[in-house]
Amino acid sequence: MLELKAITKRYSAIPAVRGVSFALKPGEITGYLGPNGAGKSTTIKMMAGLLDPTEGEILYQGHPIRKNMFAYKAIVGYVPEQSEAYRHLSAWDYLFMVGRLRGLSDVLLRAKVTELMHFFGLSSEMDMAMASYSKGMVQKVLISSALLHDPDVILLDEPLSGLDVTTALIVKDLLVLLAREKKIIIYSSHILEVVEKICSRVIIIDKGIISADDSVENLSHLMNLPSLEEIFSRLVVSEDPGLTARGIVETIRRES
Amino acid sequence: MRSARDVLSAASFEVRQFRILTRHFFLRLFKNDLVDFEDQMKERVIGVLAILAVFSGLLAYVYLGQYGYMPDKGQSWIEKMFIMTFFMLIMGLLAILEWDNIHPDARDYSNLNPLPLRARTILAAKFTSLLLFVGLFALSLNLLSSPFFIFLLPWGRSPSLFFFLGHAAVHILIMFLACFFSFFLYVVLLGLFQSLLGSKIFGKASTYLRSLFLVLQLFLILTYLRILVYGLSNLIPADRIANNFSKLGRFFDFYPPFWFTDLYESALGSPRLPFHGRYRFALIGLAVMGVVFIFSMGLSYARSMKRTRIGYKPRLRKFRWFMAAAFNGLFLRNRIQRAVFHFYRKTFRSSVFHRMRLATFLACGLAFVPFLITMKVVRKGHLFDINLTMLSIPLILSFALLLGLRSAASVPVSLEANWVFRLTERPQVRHYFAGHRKAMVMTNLIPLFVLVFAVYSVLWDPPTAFNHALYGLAISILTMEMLFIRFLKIPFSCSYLPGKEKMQVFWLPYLLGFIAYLNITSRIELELLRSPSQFVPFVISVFLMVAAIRAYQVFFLYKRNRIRYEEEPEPIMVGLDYKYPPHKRNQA
Repeated sequence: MLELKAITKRYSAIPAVRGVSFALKPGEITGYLGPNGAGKSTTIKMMAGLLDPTEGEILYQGHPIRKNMFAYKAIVGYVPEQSEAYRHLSAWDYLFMVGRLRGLSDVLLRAKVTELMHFFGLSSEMDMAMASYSKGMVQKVLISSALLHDPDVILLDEPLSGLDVTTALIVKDLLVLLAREKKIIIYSSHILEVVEKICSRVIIIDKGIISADDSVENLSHLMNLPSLEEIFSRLVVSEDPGLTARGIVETIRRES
Repeated sequence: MRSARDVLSAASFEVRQFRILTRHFFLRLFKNDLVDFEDQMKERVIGVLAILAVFSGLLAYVYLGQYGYMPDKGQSWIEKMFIMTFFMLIMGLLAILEWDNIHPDARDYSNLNPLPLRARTILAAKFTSLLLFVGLFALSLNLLSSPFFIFLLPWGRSPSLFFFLGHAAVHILIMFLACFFSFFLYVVLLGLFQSLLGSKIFGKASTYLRSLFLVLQLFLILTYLRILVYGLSNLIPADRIANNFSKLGRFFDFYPPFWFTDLYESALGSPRLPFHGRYRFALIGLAVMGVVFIFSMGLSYARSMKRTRIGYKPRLRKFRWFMAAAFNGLFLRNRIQRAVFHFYRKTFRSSVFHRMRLATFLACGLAFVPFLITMKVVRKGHLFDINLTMLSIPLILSFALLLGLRSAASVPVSLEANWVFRLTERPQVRHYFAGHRKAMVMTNLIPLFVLVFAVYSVLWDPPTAFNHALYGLAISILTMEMLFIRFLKIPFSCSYLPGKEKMQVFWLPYLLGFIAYLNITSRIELELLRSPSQFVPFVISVFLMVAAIRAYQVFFLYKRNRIRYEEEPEPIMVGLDYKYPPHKRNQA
């Protein structure tokens, strides 16, 4: 189990995440929702060990991860929010580098990388520098790199960003299968339909504070609302979207 | 039909766009790795301009001061040509340093293409920004030197005020034209290569071309400084020049400063210099450069519109795989070392910026080689003898190479992607740095010394050349260990703060250290070559020193420090910490 206990993260004095607590269980896909700047990526980065919490503790199997960060990082797979990869390398070179850093043998890597590139439809482009890839192609490489070492904890920050419909469907099915293998999966996204479809549990964060944490069915029942979109709107959206849209149109029409 | 008002409004809009773009391109020309903030940029640029102004002023004072006492009847063309040569060398060097910023790059096009901008506006703004840039440097070169020309020279020819004013105008115009010519000569060369080779081949060859030109330009500057200090007769005896005077005309055919000196004298109306008529070359050269510049810029713009894919299909995949597996199995058994080694190698192979940075350092080292050979060795006829100069050449090159490698490895490639190293970091820190060192030795130092062995085998005998290369390699590995002793970064993955080396403060101790290093190592080698049996113990002792450094790193340094991903800025204020001085900190 991966547990966050009263996690706070401040950048200088500004809090990005405030006293966040939740626990992720194996075999569960948890959706992590929130508007821009809510603290989703910061939480995920802290769970990946890339950022240190200002306050609070993250526990894996009951032990603080900071006490044995190397061992913890070895079982984590992480897909970042933006396509942050070494784009001067080819997909093949990048995946080999990540695999080697993870301690995988070259023979095993050769088999894994070849097959993953085949499944993601990148076999013919895998020797090209990623600088020439589209956003979706880079995303496929990043998903492959996160799964190369068969991690126990999978942290996904907008993993479907830029992916085509077929690959998005593959990734969704892939996550369901990985959850069946008792992996801990957290899925941060803006796309509510996907979260509603694949996540057994939803955590909604707004301005660094958790505002809801339950299954979609329970939330729907408790709030008496039919869909996740409406639950999200009720909990997070403070302004009238229609009014804001009209304001934008007026602004772009302004001539003096 | 568009009304006159619409046409005027569109024109004024285009002018506004032109001004904004010119400013943008102009400021881009000053952004390099020596500065990080805009205010720092202004400070540094003003400093460089001031140094150039003072130096050229001093040069004019030294060479033209005599005309305060004796009239110039036209004989001052030699001094004019000498000073103009300096201006043109500086402008040429400037063009090479700005090599990457001269033409609008892919980033410019990707940002500017979606905007409602005409190609002519972009190209005109780029050209104007280059003119302003060259103009600024030409102004600084002329600022303190021009008064000597303007006030000391004309009275010997005519006391007329009109002649005085005309002389001043001619001087400023010709000096600026010479500066523009020298700068745009490289711009045009760059454009020609880009047009002839195509962007793909040019992308690969650009670093080497730039390095070649940098070596040439630095060599010329060093030679110029040598003539400035010791005089021309120290390089070529005066009687040799007098005996071959007719050949001098052929030389001046290919010597642009002479063309512009001739233009200067011709514009004043009384040219009294020999081989008069070369001013035509200056005029033709300026016209040709203008045409070629516009053509090459247009072609570069047209090509950039086409989207190019970077990458290649590897051939002989199985053979490559076998070779790589054999190499990795032999030299890179640890997987972390393997990852860092190949990351290093591939980054240098595909990152033009890092190659350019390395090439700049290497070119500075390379420029010394012909300088040393022509200045010290050839004249004494000792090219094939074992002497300190010939011994020091590989050491200069390897030192420049190592400095370049350190500098290039400090600059990140895609800093935002370094999370992958942080996420996969393992406790065996030493393997990351061992991979880096192995990469430097195998991909940089060993090829260099194989080349050294090949060249010196031709000059000397193969066994001596082998000893020489082995000595150089051993010393270079030791130097590498010293230079990277506290380098706790995975190459290209840590943030970079320009100016942290404080070169402007420490350049003198660094220079003195470098000269001492060269002298000591060359003298030791000379002694060793006299008794070659001493070579093996020497090499063993060097490797023992390397082993001692590694032991210090493994048992002390790496235990107390982790891999660094963020460069720490220098403190704004350094406290004396009198309350807890270093030797009392532990007690406190």
